[in-house]
Amino acid sequence: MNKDLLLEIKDLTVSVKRKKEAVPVVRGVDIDIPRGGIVGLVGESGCGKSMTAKSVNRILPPFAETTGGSILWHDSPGETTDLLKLKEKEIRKKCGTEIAMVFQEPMTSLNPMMRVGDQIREVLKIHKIEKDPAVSKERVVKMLGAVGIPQPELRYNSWPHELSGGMRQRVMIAMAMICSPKLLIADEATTAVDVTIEAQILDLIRDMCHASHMSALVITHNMGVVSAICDHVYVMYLGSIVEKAPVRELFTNPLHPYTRGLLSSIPRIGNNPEYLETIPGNIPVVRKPFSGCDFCMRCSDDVRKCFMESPEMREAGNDHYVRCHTALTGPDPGESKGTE
Amino acid sequence: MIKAVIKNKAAAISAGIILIIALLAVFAPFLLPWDAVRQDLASRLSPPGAGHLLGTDALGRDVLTRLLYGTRVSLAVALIPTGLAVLAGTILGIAAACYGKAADMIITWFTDVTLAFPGLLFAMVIMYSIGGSMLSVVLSIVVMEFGSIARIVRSVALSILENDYILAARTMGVKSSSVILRHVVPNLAPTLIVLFTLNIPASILSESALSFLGIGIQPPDISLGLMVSESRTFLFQMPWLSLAPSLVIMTLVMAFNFLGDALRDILDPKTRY
Amino acid sequence: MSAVIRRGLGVILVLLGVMLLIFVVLRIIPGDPASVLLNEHASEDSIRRLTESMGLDKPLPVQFLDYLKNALRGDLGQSYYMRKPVLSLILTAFPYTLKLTALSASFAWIFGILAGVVSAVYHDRLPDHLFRGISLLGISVPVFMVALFLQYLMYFRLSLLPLMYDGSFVSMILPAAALGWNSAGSVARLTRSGLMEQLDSPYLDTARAKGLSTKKAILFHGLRNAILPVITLMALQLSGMLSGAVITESVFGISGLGKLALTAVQTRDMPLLQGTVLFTALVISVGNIIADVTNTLLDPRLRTKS
Repeated sequence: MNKDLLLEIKDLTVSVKRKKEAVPVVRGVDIDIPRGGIVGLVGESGCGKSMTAKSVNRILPPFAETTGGSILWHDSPGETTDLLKLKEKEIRKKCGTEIAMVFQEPMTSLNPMMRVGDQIREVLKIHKIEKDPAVSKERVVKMLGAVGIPQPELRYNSWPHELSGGMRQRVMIAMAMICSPKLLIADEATTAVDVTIEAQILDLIRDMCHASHMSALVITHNMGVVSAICDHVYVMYLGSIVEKAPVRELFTNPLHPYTRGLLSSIPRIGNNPEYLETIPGNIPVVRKPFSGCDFCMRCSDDVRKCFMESPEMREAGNDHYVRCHTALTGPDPGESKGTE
Repeated sequence: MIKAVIKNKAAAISAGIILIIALLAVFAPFLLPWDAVRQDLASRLSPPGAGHLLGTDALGRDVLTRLLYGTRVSLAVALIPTGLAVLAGTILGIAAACYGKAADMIITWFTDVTLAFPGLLFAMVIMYSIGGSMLSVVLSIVVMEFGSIARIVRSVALSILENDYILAARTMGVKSSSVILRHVVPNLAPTLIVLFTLNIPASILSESALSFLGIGIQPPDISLGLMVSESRTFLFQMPWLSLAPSLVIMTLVMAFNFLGDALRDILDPKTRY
Repeated sequence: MSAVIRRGLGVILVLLGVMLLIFVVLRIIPGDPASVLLNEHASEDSIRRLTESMGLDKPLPVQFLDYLKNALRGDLGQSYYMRKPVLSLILTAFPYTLKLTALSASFAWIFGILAGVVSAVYHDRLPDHLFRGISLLGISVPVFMVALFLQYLMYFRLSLLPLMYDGSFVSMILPAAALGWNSAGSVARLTRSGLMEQLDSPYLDTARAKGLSTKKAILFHGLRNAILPVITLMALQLSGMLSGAVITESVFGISGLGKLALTAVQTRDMPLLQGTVLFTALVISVGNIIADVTNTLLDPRLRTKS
C-alpha cells in the first residue's frame, strides 16, 4: 500500500450486451500500476484483457459497458480521480495527453486517408497544445526521429500504406508519446509485426518508459513479451485475474495451473520434446454464473472442491498472489474424486 | 425465409401492405359498382363524398375505381418486366462469369452500353419506334434494369466460382453446364430474390414516370402515373385527384423498398447493392 | 498510364455501342420516316426526293457509317421538325439541364451527406430513425409527385416561389428541389451505410484514444473514408438525375435536353432524338470519368498506384 501508484483498477466489471442480456466479460479485476512501472496483462484472446484496457481510456465499443468498480487515477499521491466517473469531455482531455494507447493492427489503426505526420500532429491540435503549425510540425518530426524512423522530415508526408508494419507501429508510438503521457497502454502492440521488429518495438517502449518515468500497461498473449519488458505481471483467465506476481517470481515459480500451462507451451530450443505442450480444452463460453473455479474443466488437478466453489485470491509471499485451491497446498488426496 | 420475414416487423408490415393493395386491385370489379372507363359527364369533377368516395375525375369517372384498376396495371407492369430483367440479367451475368474471356468482354460491353444513358431517354427511343403501349413500357423497363442486374450477378457468380468445392468439381471433370446448374444457380438464389424485390420499386417508378410524360400507357388504359398526368390541370382546385394515385405509388414503392432491404439483411447480409 | 488509355478506349467503345443500339432501335420503325414527315397527300415523287435527300435510300450499314462520320465532325444532322442543326439545338438546351442538375445535385449532396452523417452518429436512436425514414421517403416518391406537391405548396398555398421556370434563379429553386429530393435519399442511405462500415475500424479507436469524442472521430476520420463510395454513387446517379430532369423540365417548362427529347418524340423528329440521346450518353461518360479522377485524387492508395 505504500507503493506510489499511478493507476488503480478496482473490482472492474465490463459487460457485453448480447441480445437482451448483459454478459460479463471482465469480472472483478484489480490491477495496480505503479508510477514508472511496466505492468503486463497476459491471457488468451477473448479473455477480456482488451476490454479492461479500453475501459481505462473509455473507448469500449458501443455494445460493451463498464458495469461496476472504479479506475482510480492518481495525478499526484494526494490527488485522485475515478476515470469511470469523469464526463466524456473530461476523459477525452486526458486521452492523448496523459493516457495514450498503441493498438494491435498497425495496418488499420492509422487512418488510411491522412498523412502520418498530420495524424500525429492532430493530437497537439486537439488538445490545443501547440498552435503554431511550424512549431508543431517540428515537434512531430523530432518525435518521429526519436522513435527511430529514418528521414523523419520525409516520412512526415508519407501515407500509412507507404510504410511497413514496423514503421507504422513506430508512428503509432510517436503519436502516443508526442505529449509525454503518464501512462501508455500497449494493446497487443507487437502481435502483428514479425519477431525482429517485435524486439525493436519492445526495446523502444521500455526505453521511452525509463527515459520519461512513464508507466505502461502491456497487454499481450505472449509470455516472451512479458519477460522482455514487464516488471509485474497479471495473468487473466476468463475475465478475472488468476495470478499476479513480479515478473521474475512468476517465471521461476508459477503457481496457477493456467500460468504453468502458458509457460510450458513456450517452445524451447534444446528441450526437444516430441510434442509442444498445450493447455487442454478451450475457453469455456461465458454464460450463467458458475459456482466453481473457472479453470476446473481444463485443470490437470482433479479436485472436487474446484467444481464446488470459486477460489479467492491468496497470498503466496514475495508479492505473489494466486486464485487457486490447490496451488498453495497441493491437491488433497482425500478430496480427489478418483472414482474412475 | 418466410419465418424470418414474419419475425422482422418492418418486412412483415410491408408484405402485409403489398398483399392488401394487391388483393384490392385484383378484386376491384367485385368491390365497387362503378365502371372505370365509361364516362359520365353529368357528374364530372364531383368532390369526395358518400357516393364516389374519392370523387370523380374530369370525365365523370369514379376516382377510387380507376385507382384500383390503375394499381392493377402498375403492379403488373412492375412485376412482369422486373422478372424478365432478372431473368435476362441472370443469364447474361452467368454467361459472362462462366464462359470465358470473350463472352465476358462482349457482355460487359453490352451492359455498359445499356447503362450509359438515362433509361427514360431509351424508353423514348423505343416509344418512337413502336409507339406507346404496355409492350413498349415493359421493353423499356427490361432494358433499363437488366444491365445492373447482370453486373451484380456476374460478380456474385465469379465469387461463387472461386470456392474450392467448385474447383474440385471442375478438376474432377464435371461439365461446366452442370457446375452452373448444381452450384452456381442455387447459390445465386438469395441474391436474385433480393434483386427482384429491390428492382420492383424502380419499375413502378419508371412506369409511372413514362405514363406521366405521356409516353407510356395510353388512354383509355389506366395507370397511376397517367391519372396524375390527366388530373394535373386541376392540381390547385382538386389536389386529391393528383394526390391519391401519387400516394398509392409511394406506398407501394416504400413497401417494396422496406421488404427488399429486410430480405437483403436476412438473406444476403454481407452484400450491398 | 495504360489504365488511362484503356479507360478512354472503353468510353469510346461504349459510346459507339450507344450509337449502334439507338440507330438499330430507331430503324425498326415500320414505314419510312419521309412519309411520316410529309402529309398523307404527298406525291410518291416528293416522298422519294425527301428520302434521297435524307440518305434513307442507302443500305443501313452505309447509313450508320455516314452518321458516324458526320457525328465525328460534330454534325448530328438536321432536325426534321425545327429545321435547324441538331447540335445547335442541343447546345442551346444543354445549359438549362446543366444548371438544373448542378443545382439539384448540390442540394442532394449537402442534405444527403448531412442526413447520412447524423444517422450514423446517432445510429439506432431517434435522429437515425427519423432521417432513415425521410431518406426512404426520398427514394420512394416519384419525381413528378414532389414537383407537383412543391408547386401546390410553394406557389399556390404560400405564394413564395414562381410556378414555372422563367429564366430567373428563384424559379429554378423548385425544379432543383424536386429533382434533388430523390437523390438526396440515396446519398443519405449510402453515406450512412458507408459510415457504419467504418465505425468498427480500429483507426476510430485510435482517434478516440487521441482525445477526440466519438462524434468528432466519426466526422474527422470516418467521413473521409466513407466519402469515396459516395462520390462513385454520385456519378452513377447522374444517369438517374438526367432521367428525372426530363420529368422536372416538363413539369416546370424548362427547355432543356429532356424537353428537347420529349419534343422530338412528339414531333417524330428522329435525328433530334438520336442526337439528344447520344449527347446525354457523352455527358454521363464525362461524369463517370470526372468521378474516377476525383476518387484517384482523393484516395492516396490509388494515387500511389498510378
